[in-house]
Amino acid sequence: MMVRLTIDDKQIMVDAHMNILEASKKLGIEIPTFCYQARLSELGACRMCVVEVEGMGKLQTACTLAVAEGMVVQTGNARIKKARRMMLEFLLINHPLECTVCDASGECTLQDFAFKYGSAETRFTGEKRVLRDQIISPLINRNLNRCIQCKRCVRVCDEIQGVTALGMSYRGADTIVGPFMDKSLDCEYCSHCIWSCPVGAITSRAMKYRARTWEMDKAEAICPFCSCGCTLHYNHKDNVVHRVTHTEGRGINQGSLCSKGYFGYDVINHPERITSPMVRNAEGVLRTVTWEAALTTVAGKMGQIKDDNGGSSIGGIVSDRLTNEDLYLFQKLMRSVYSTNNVDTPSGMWSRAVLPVLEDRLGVFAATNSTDELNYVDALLIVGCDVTVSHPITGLRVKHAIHRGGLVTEINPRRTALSRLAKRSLTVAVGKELALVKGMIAVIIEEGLYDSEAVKDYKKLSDLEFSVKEKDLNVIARNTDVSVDDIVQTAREFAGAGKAAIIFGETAALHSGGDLLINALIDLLMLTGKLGQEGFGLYPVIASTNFQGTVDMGIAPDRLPGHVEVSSATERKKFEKAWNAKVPKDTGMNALEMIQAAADGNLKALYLAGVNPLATFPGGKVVAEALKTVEFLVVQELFLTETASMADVVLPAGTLAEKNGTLTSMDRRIQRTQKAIDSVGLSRPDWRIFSDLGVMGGENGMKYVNAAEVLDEIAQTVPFYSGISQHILADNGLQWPFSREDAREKFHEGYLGTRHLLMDGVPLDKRIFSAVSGWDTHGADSQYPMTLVFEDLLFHSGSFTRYSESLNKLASEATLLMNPQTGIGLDVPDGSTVRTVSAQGEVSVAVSYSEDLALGVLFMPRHFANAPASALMVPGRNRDAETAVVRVKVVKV
Amino acid sequence: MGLMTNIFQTDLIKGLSLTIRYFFSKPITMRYPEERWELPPNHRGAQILKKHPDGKERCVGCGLCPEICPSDAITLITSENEAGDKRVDFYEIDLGLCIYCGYCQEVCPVNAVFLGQDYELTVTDPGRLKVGRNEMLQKGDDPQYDNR
Repeated sequence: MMVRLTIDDKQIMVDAHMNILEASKKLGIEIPTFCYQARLSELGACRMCVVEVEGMGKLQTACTLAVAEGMVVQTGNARIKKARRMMLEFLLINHPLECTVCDASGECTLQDFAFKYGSAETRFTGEKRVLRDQIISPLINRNLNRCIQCKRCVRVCDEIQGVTALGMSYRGADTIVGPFMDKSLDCEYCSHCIWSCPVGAITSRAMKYRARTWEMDKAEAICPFCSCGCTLHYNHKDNVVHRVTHTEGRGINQGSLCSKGYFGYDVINHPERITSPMVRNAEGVLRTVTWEAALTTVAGKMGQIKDDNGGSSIGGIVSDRLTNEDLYLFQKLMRSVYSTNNVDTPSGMWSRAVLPVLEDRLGVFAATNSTDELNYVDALLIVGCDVTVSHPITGLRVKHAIHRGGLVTEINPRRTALSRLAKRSLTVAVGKELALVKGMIAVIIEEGLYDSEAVKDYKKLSDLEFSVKEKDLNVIARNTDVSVDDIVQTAREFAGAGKAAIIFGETAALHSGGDLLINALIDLLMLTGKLGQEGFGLYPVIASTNFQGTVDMGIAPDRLPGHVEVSSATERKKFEKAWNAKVPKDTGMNALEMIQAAADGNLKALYLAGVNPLATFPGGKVVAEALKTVEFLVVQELFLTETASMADVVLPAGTLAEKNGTLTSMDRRIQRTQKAIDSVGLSRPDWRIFSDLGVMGGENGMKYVNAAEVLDEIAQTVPFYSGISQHILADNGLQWPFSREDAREKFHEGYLGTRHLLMDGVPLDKRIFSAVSGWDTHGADSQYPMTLVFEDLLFHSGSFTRYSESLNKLASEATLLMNPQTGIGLDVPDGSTVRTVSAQGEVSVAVSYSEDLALGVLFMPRHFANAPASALMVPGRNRDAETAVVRVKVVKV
Repeated sequence: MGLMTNIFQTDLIKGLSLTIRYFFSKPITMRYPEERWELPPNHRGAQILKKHPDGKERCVGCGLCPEICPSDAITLITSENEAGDKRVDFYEIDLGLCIYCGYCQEVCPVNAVFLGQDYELTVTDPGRLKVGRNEMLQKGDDPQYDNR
């Protein structure tokens, strides 16, 4: 309902739910406020936003007063000005005037308002309140003297992040903000409290006293830590990034960041960055050389190996954290210059496990819907992942949905941060999820809850019915250790919800029978008709920043840019014409095959751009042997990692803060990231290195002046990137597929591309239920009875963040998490070291008991040097996809 | 006329008498470096840094002087010290860039930086024009550079 009111003699029609503050904002009238923030609940604590409403005797707070028909509001008369002046005077009684050293100075609301609305004098000359200034965490600094008790931090922590780590204690003038019992802060370090504090009471210790707010320039970039694709601003001064900020309402994150995004920037200017190229000399020592020398060495040696052994003896593995431009040029270098299809990326293991199923069943090769649609889902199934950890901002969407009353069910081998908030958390051992999903399908068919209209033209419904009814619900419940009631309720909620979606992650997909589980999840979506509309859909989530970019840019041994098959002669011809070079027709080797071939001596040269296989690839010993055996190893890296120190040539590359480019988020959104600082030392952006090597390899088509030129070429060769340019991406990201014309004409009007796929429903030839057989996708193994899951950490992602000092303060060592019930037979005390043995190898790591885990399941972070996941992961066992889950046994030391 | 002056050299005598007169009169020029100017108190010479009476530095590293400096002559690097307070790690003014406008003195909220009395800024090595914090603190203690 709309109402008409008058504010400062101007009439306006607004929605009846709006408050006066928002309505004035629409008219361009500023009402000062400390405690109000659009995303938070109204409090009316600061009394700065007082306005005069005709007919109401006292001044009213604009933030808590809803608009009403015929209201007449004054926002700036003498009475109001006097009230505001007095409020500021009261606040400044105790606020220390240490603006000279306060980190908030320059963007402090109190400073601004005191300047604009306050008086230059104070009538209160007594002693200021001095409270003990206590540092409450390694990264977050609290100064209680500066606090104005607006309660924004407390509300943001509760309402947005759902953590409730901060609260208010004591009363009146003694009120302080702090963690429970004023102990040290134990939270997700999401930085929301720092961002929401209007004064300098809560600040970041990572940048404390290093730079003033006004000294820093800002560059808009995309966060390099996960595939959410959050927009952030690198604040830099003198070529050093000093902090990261974000803007309310901008980008996918809409003014939120997580611990990695906010505190992880210190890797950019880390003192250990490689700053010049290095070549191994005759004595076997890495020596600093010029770029010319290093590139000549690489181009010469690669050319020689190609001439002697053919292109198939050269392989390249590229990081999934690089920009689309970097990735495109890498595969172009490999294919057109080195004549090889041996191109892969670490997340290729995920792509090969998940994408064939999605393509086969739905005809898509990405998440079907946008992540912000998760804000408004009514029912959500999260299978085998912890989105609050691997994708914290997507996790916020889920929390928002829960806040709105969305029914979220989590099916995971461990309880997570969401479990406390979610409707239901089903702790199920790895491999048993399939039985649970089939149980749900059985309930839906039994009770006739499926969408009969949608299912009408689907084939094999009877097969599906037959496959799920093999086992009784009671048996399923007993096997999965979940009550029948939970299965039935989950099924009813999912089928009955207006909007329902499914998120699944690595634990679900990257174990031996992951494809069966994905098929069953798609069956569930098809059966309930939850595809092809807003708020419906399937979200495969993996943390790798630009994994969708690696898919789109053809970083796969069997795919060209545009996700087209290498084996197709017409597609090859198209690229041969565009690149003016031959494209090899044989499918190449994937990353694990390349490592194996190198160890066997069949692969002569290996080009590793931003990957550290020694730390992250399955089969620790084989990888070490491969890197030792291979004739020529080029590593392009930021740091001298374990892998880089074995290389023949080390090329220093740049972080995302040092280059222009585009990234594609997990919901297909192509976004522009901009250079903030000049390259550190002599390092160069990755695309430039690939381009230079291409030209040196005799391919003049590889000559590019800037990243925008590479994007122009992508726009011409990749059909669903057609028409894209830096210019079009300036305001917003663009979700492919998009209309070329709309993109060109409406990009500044907020055209976003295709928000969700399958708008015309599932393709007709794919309307078949898969009716997967089998109930346990993981199976048992008497020799290795336990299941180890490699988890993502909230504070770390990949091996890159190990170099961040701030994040290492939060977590720097791996421990093995275990249910005390699982550990009964072992008889080891909490914290003691155990040996974890898999078929591949073993690691010794301290054990930590937690009742959140399913029986027989262990958890270990994959990021840390003290417990290298690569030593345990088994290459080639069942499928190359088994990298998130390993069968192990635990032995007492 | 010309003949007479040539014979008696009257020009020479005139000139010499002027020379002799000035030779015995009080000199007009200053005998630098034995003598120096008596500078007005607000003379804008090279910057000095002042301390509190207890010897603590006044400068808190607020960053206003590098911000306001029109010729970008001031470099300041700060960080957190062990006690959690702000510490000035590096403070330097490039006198080759400085235009002696006095803005830094004007903007300083804690009266730490002043334009002092030192005007002898000629150096043989241009690098020496960059004056560091310790040198400025020493000058601040020296009444020669601060007659305020």
